[in-house]
Amino acid sequence: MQDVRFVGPSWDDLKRQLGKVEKPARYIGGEVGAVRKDLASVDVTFALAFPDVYEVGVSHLGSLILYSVLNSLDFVACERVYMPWTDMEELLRDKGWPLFSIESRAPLGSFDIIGFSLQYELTYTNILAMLDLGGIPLRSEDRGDGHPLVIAGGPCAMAPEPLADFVDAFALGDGEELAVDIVRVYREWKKERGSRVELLKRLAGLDGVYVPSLYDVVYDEAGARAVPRDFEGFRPPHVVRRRVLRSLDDAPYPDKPFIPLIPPIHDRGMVEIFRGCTQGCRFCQAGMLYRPVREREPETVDRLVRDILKHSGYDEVSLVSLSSADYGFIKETVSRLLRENPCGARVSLPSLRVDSFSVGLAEMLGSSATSGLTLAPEAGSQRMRDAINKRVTEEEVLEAAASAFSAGYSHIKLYFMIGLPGETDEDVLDIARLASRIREIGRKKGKRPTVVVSVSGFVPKPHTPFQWEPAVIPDELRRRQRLLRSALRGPGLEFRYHDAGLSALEAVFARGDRRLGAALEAAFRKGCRFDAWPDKVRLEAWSEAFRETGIDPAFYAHRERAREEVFPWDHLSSGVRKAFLWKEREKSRETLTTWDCREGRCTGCGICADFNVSVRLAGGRRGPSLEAPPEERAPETDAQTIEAGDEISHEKWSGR
Amino acid sequence: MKVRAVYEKGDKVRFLGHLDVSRCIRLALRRAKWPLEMSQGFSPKPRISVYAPLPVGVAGMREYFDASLRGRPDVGALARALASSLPEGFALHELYPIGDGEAPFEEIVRASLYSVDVEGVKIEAVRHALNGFLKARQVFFDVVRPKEVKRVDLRPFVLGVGEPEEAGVDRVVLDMAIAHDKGRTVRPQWVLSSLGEFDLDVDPREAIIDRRKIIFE
Repeated sequence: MQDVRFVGPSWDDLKRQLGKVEKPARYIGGEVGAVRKDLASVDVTFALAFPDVYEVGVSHLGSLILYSVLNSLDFVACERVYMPWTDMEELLRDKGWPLFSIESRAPLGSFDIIGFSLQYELTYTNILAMLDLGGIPLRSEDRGDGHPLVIAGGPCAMAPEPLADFVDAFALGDGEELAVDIVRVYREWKKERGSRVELLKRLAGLDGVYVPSLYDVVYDEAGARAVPRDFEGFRPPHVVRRRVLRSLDDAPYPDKPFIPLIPPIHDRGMVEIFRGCTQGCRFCQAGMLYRPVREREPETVDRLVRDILKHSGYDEVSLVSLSSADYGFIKETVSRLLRENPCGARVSLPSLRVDSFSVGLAEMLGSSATSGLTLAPEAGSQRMRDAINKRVTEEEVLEAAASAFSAGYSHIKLYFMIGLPGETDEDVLDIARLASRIREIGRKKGKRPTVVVSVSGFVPKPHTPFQWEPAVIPDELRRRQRLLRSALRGPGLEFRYHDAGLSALEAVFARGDRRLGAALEAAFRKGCRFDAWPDKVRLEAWSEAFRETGIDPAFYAHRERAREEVFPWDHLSSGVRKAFLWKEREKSRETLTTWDCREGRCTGCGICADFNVSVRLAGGRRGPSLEAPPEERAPETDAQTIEAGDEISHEKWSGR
Repeated sequence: MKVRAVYEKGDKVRFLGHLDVSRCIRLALRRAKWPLEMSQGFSPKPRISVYAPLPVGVAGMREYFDASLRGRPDVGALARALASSLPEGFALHELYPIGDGEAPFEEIVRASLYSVDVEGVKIEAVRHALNGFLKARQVFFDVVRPKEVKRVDLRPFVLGVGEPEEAGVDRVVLDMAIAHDKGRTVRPQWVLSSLGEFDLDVDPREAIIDRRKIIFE
């Protein structure tokens, strides 16, 4: 007999209703390679929850990895839950059905652990909606022994205070080992039938787990300071360090991923060729959060490509990373895959640099006739590119474009940001000038080029050199958008931009503190969902939510922070030192660039020394020596610096 | 060599659209390592034709696709490989070689026989509405598309309706034969909707509809 705890809506009931919603196949499961275990016969049931729609969630590589890792454990059953689209939410509420898992249609509330993936701040209302649809109290303090443990990981977990009231524990850093540690701790605790607080304490004892309810937050002129609470015989760490895998080559990887029955946003196999990026772009959170660079060996990449293509039937595989042209064996790997052509598949590289080498790679991949080429100079003027450490010259951008036109491309898409720190109108107009020059190059090559300028508003992110900087206010961002649009008129030039209001909302939550939880809950109660979707976001409801809860969004989004300010994420360490970030910020103001440590010289960011890890390049190539040039070493007297071997304390970290 | 497959789009995958079904078949054929003949051109695609699209929500018991293959592989081996590669909810019923001179599929399809299962209705009301529908010379239905509303006369497409049967309390099952005319046809859901004109209050989105078979000339 089926365990009643795990019974959601029956298929017979569901199929009479699914015809009422858009894309009902989002909710039916049945993917080739999906794992379905008997939930009643395992020790720990885990719902891997993605707070966005199915097609987005199934393309998320991190979730694929965790699904595979957790289901490889015989005592765990891991199933998936995605945010239902608004029509499905309405249907669930109308029918009184709980949000259910894809594999077994088990109610979300029946799982032992719910693990959310935090990829983007504008999914936060979806997290509350999913908990609510699962019949789970939103706030951690309202959940008891009969409720699931709610955890969350992903990049936003490194600055998670806006979610601190709703999430029991945050998992920081690489999840491959940490997820296993968490379910083991849970299993032991479950066997012993301990209290919920006992579970949270045990989790807080794991490296890489932050339990917000074990910390008080002190708000004063210094900032927002998280202070560990004293328990008898236990005190959570002052600073929680993110988990870092030493080697990617030894890490588990889903070589038999599940294949959705409807096309995901990335409908292809994915092989992560390396993790981490040391290009050092000063706006880029991922570039700071995933250090150090760890490459997979080319033989491992080859094997994974073959296995994934064979298992999936895909005719395309993507070699995924934050900057794929940086992979030490990229040309050899692409050449070999094309030459040996396993399973007749195409190869794609999702993120290329702005240089001729990258264009050459794109040309090798033969995408010119079917799609355009995307380059991301990020800023129009050399001054701004230097300020953000996008180490590419105008000549290199133009050379890359010329190579692209010569290779047969006629459609070039350029990504830029506006609203960057120190940006002037001239810098904005330089975007238009650069696009026009690229168009001219195309014309000279005998093309009728289309140059698409896609511009997003800069949002300062935690753990980056720009974490002290204000985001420009929406009206000013709109003025700069108009300025650029007026300069971008003419045949062959297209302008696309993001909603300034969305960027501002993202900027509030990116660097938010625990007080934002009230506004988040208020916005959820007002029906805010899918805030990242321009046709769904309700900025007026958000304004009301901020007003009603006494929150000034400008305090979070548009305020320049003092150097000494204690940030709401200072007690969570990415491994990159705050002093390094400040130094990078100062160099930005002087438009000085910093090299990539792959080139052999350490930049002194601190990750390798403090976390006892190292850059791992494929083929046994040497990474940088830890001995940075003296002038570039983080100042040893700086109280904000954590040196290798030091016991990390909050006092030291925050300069107190 | 060209082969024709008779397959099932079963209950569990009824909510896939036609393009989704085609994609599932294409991926399954690649997993099954069929020696698919590819189209010419810059972006070669396997030569597969998946016929007689079914709407989202409708299952099909005997559906058809053709595939062109390199060489003359053993059909039994192909069938075994494909059967074990299809996603749950699909099934392969038959596989056989066909000649190049075969008439185009869409030209020889005459009708689809659907089974329609509706809840929350009395059998008398269903009978009454069907009688009204069948006696009418024209029954118009507005097909709403993103950029247009197209008015279709459903009546000539409905070739016949079987005697409704009670399948439970306020639950009725009936068969419906719907014509195909040079690739044009209508959806059984549209017919159900149009029964509102004949006093039957039924939400076609809640109906369970299966295409039992495709009828050829």
